Amino acid sequence: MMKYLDKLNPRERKIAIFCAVTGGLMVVYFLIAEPILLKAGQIQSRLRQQRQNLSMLLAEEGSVEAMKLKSLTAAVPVLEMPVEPDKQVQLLRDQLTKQIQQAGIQVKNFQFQTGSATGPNASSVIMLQCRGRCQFPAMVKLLEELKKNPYYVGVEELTLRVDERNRQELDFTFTVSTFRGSAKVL
Amino acid sequence: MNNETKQYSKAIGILKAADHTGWILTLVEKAATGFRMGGYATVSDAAKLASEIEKLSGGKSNPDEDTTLVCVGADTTQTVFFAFKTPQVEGARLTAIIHAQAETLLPMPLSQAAFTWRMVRQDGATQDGCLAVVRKNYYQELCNVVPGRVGSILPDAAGLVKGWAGVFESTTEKCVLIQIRKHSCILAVSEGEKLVRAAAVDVEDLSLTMVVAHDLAAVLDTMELPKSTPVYITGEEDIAAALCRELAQGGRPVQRWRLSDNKISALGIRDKLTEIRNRPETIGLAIAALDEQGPTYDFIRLPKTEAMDDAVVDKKGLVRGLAAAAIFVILLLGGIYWTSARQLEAIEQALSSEYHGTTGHAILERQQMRDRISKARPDMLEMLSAIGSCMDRDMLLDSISFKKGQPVRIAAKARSFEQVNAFHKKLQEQACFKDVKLISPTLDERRSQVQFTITLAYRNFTRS
Repeated sequence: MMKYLDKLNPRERKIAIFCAVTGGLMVVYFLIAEPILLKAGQIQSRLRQQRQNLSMLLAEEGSVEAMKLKSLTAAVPVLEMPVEPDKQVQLLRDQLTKQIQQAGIQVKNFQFQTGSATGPNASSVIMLQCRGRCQFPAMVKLLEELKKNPYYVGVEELTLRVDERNRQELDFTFTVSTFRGSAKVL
Repeated sequence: MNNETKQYSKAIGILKAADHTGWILTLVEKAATGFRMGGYATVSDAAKLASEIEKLSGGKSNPDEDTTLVCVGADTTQTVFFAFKTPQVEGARLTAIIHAQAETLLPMPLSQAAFTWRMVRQDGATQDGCLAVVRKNYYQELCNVVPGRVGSILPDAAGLVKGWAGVFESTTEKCVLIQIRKHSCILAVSEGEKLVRAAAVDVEDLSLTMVVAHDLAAVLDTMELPKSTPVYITGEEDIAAALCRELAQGGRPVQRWRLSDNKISALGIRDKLTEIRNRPETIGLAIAALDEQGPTYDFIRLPKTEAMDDAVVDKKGLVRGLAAAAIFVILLLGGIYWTSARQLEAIEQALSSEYHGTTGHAILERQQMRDRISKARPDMLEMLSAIGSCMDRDMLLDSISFKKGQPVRIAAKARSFEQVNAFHKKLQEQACFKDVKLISPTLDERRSQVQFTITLAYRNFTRS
């Protein structure tokens, strides 16, 4: 190598040394520095996330985190972690049937649907549609009680149609969703 | 002027002939035992110098590979030496101090002068040095003796000392060498067979030896040399002998230069002995230029130790600084990485550890699920209550249709268009509704009712 460099004139030698040094630095960067920096970046972002989690867990009364938790708990007072799809569907149906009966609503039919929900969670939800007839207060009662269903995620569809002949009666179509058990928690 | 680092094996000393009618060229080569004369030539025409140099150095060659140094002698009568003192500093600071000293010592602006220097001795907290100065235009003239080939310019007094040390019996002790020339006498102070400083004494008439001796003694006194310093004289026999006597009478130990057979043999100059005895500085210049310890008072190759060390130190300093900074940054980043990794590990361990039958991870998982559900859960009661609050008592609601991603659709009947408009307006005022649109209100004259449909967007559950 040195013999080769000695054969070059000073300008060529400078260029050769510059190219060799630049090449060496590039190799070092791409093979060593970049993977390390990438890993360090991942660790930093995970650490940031875990710190947030920790501060949420250790939130003091009156803090922003505590208020956020409170509002979350109010929105979702009961919750059961999803299980495998078949079981989850059964659980939702049983609980919903109970709540519908308690509300005094007549259901004409239940129908399960998958994949027709919208939004970021669409692929991970199962939907249960029911049609029937009820009075408006009964529907309000059902909607109030739904929050107490630990398997219920949200209302996907609600259509209320007043019976022209008896305006106290409503025909309804009501679709609720639940998460599939295999869904990964964000 | 530069800091030449190239190593030469041969040097050609070029000196103007004594009668100023031509040039003397002497080639000296490095040999195993010292130096050896490789050629001697005289040229009458300066234009032929380049070809003569090629001839002496063995033909044309690649300038990058050429190892023959061309050294031109600066006439000592054109050179002025100034002694100076500096503190014990080195490198860039020493150079800066010397430049500052030169500004004060030189009787002309620095831009009009070319100078070089030599540090002579160190004494406690200070060190002594000596500046050699020539006018810039004279320096340029010497550079252009052989354009593009001159690699070294030395005072011919430096050649004189080396010539004396190379051909004559010499001593490394401090002494004064006097060379009698046609119209001047050169005094060169030598120590360790190297030039310390020199002076030229102009002589109008050499036959007036008493006057010349007086002038020489006066110059020796200004050089502050002790009277015991040996003086060696060379030049025309009679005048040299007379000056010897005169100076000896002044109490100085004076001797004539004596040729050294061994040195003559070693140098291989027997066939040119007369010429070299008369102008020993011709061969001395080439020897001085090849000095392994670096040239003395070279106007082109500035003092090697100081200047080169300075450059090397500066470069090394820069490299060291950069390396230290790089190491510091790497250590810092490594430290941050290590600390982050440890913290992450500790937090994850804390979140995984079981407490009251659950773990932090499980709680977080439930919390995240709650968050996810709350985002996916429309509040139907809020929606119905908002719609209900906007309706008048005598309005008849026919249907409400909500489907995620689609606008909420309300079909109803009102008594008048005003009532419809009021309903529409109230819906628009609700914070949870956007894009409230009234579609085709139609008057049913038979029943005196206005049938209408309204669509609206409910929070983020309707795609725009």
